[in-house]
Amino acid sequence: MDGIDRLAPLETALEEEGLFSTRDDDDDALRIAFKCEGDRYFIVSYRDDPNFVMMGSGWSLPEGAERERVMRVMNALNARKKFVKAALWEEENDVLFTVELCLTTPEEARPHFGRLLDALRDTAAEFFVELRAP
Amino acid sequence: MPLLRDELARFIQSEGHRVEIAAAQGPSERAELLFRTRGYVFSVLVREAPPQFEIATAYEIPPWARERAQNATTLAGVATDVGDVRFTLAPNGKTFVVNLDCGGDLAELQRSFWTSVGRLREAGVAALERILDRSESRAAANKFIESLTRKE
Repeated sequence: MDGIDRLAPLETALEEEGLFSTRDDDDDALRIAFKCEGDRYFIVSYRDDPNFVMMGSGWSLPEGAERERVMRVMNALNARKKFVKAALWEEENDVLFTVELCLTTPEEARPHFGRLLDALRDTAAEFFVELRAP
Repeated sequence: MPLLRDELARFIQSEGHRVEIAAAQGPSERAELLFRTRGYVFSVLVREAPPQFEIATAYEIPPWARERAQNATTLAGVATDVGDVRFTLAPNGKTFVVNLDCGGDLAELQRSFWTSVGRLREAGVAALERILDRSESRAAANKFIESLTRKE
């Protein structure tokens, strides 16, 4: 641990994007929670792995969604989309979209924050469009 | 009774966005709420009585594509395609504004707020792309004509 607040530049990026955010740090991790256009997102960095930063969002699956179809849509997105990883979560009722970064310095992610947030948002939107497609 | 501008500002803040109330002209007059999303500043014009809301955002046209007459025609064409979204080209031709009239029902506006913002964004991006496409085609055509003329 180097005592650097790895998430501070991302808090600044959120401010520059005109978004509110809250911090919730503990002995294990640094965390930011924020909303954009009403949807909830998080950013997390673990104290024992200071180069790793993950941002993401979690969504409930529609009731009755077929697991096989969900997996097929997620797999297609994982193969096609830049940056974003999709996975089933929480006893397979939720789908989690994450962007994982390996950073040497915390500032590296700041200029790309808008692009990464767009990628997260667009992937989630495409997931639900494709899941509901006939 | 709370002002519509304050209620709407609270709603946008509760959705995660910082809001600035600008150009308020007294409690019963029009006010403009400003917020950012996806790198663009949006404004909501709020009239208290009778209630009326209008969302707008502006796009900058790159200097090489600022052919005012051609862009006015292009924007009129896009406006026909996208329905009730309006485009206004600035007199200096450097920017255009995209507006959507959202009626006067606050609850309805809140329900459809991000959909409306998304419609404006899509319309603005589509208009900008068409402006750039036409400018590029025109530039390519000019270059082609110029090369032919030189050969003569």
